[in-house]
Amino acid sequence: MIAVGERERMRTVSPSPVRARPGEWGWYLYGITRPSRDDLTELNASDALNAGLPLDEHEPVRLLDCGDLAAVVRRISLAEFSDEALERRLRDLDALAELAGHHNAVIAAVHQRQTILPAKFGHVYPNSAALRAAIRSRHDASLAQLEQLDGCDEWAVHVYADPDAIRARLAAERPTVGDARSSPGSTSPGRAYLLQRKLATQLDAMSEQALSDLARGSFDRLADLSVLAEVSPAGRSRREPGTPREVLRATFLVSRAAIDPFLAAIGDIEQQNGVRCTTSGPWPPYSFAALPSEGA
Amino acid sequence: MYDMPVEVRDVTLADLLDRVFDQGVVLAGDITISVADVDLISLRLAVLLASVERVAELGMQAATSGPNHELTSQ
Repeated sequence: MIAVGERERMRTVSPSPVRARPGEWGWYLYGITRPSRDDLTELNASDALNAGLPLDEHEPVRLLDCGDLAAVVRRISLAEFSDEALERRLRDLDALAELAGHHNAVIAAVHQRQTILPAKFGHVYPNSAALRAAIRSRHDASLAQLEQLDGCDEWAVHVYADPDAIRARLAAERPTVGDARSSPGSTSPGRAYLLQRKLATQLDAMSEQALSDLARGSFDRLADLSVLAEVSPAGRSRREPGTPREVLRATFLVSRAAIDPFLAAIGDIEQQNGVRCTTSGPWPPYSFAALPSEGA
Repeated sequence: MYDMPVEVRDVTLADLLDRVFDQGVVLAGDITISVADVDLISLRLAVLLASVERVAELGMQAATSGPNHELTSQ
């Protein structure tokens, strides 16, 4: 544990005196990192960091030291985070995307310089004491996590397959099923119908199994090339017949040294299975960092 | 993000929202967003910071009682 009051130092490009009355200002937390000599001057010069978040543009992103950890923060006006202000922003996709983009831009910029445990949107503390208390409460776990995340990026992978195409292929590979469907032969129409129904049901089950195997196989293969891996709930999209279905949505923590084989494996999965993959990254490790608020 | 094919952009926005907003939070809002028909993301979006008063209240607890009280997990 770190002694309370230790190192109350704050780094900022242009130190601004605390001029607001208590309750008017809060600290918006982007993430937790290690203390650094980097004063974030260059980072603050970027326009991207000053768009999106409701904030006083003159307030820079700062590193607030807390022993051997440091919080990436910005002072914000609490009024901008009132119920009405937030709800208005969160109900509009463009505004939502802008907020998310801003939040990510700051974290991604720090992530390029040093390892960071990214915070989700919306961590606001009324004062630095509250923020430091939150960080101290998970001090050891945060240090261990930073170590684990060193040199790694997060990647999102979606695998889409066409269930109808897979079903058709399975039907073609199973002559008995195909025969029964196309030529009931000498059996009565009633029996033929029942047989057809039974085979169709079997085919459905086989298709689902094939999709599930495909998802599992793809995940395992990519997980082998990752430091950590996690399946996310797949999209609940309405699927039109004949269009691909998302069979796997997963997130991987990949060492930068191992990124080439990882991306190559995604290409192989597409080719070998006739599926489509979409990949996004490199992301800061949002899915593999638990901040003070998030669990434990 | 770099080297992103154009057609992947909408999925990337979905990926961004998935990462930046905490879906596990139970709060006021429950927002469903359709991103270019590619996907439906259901974001249980909490008006994370329910009110300024609450922010201050939770923050003071955190400052005075030691253990962390989180805004987004309440």
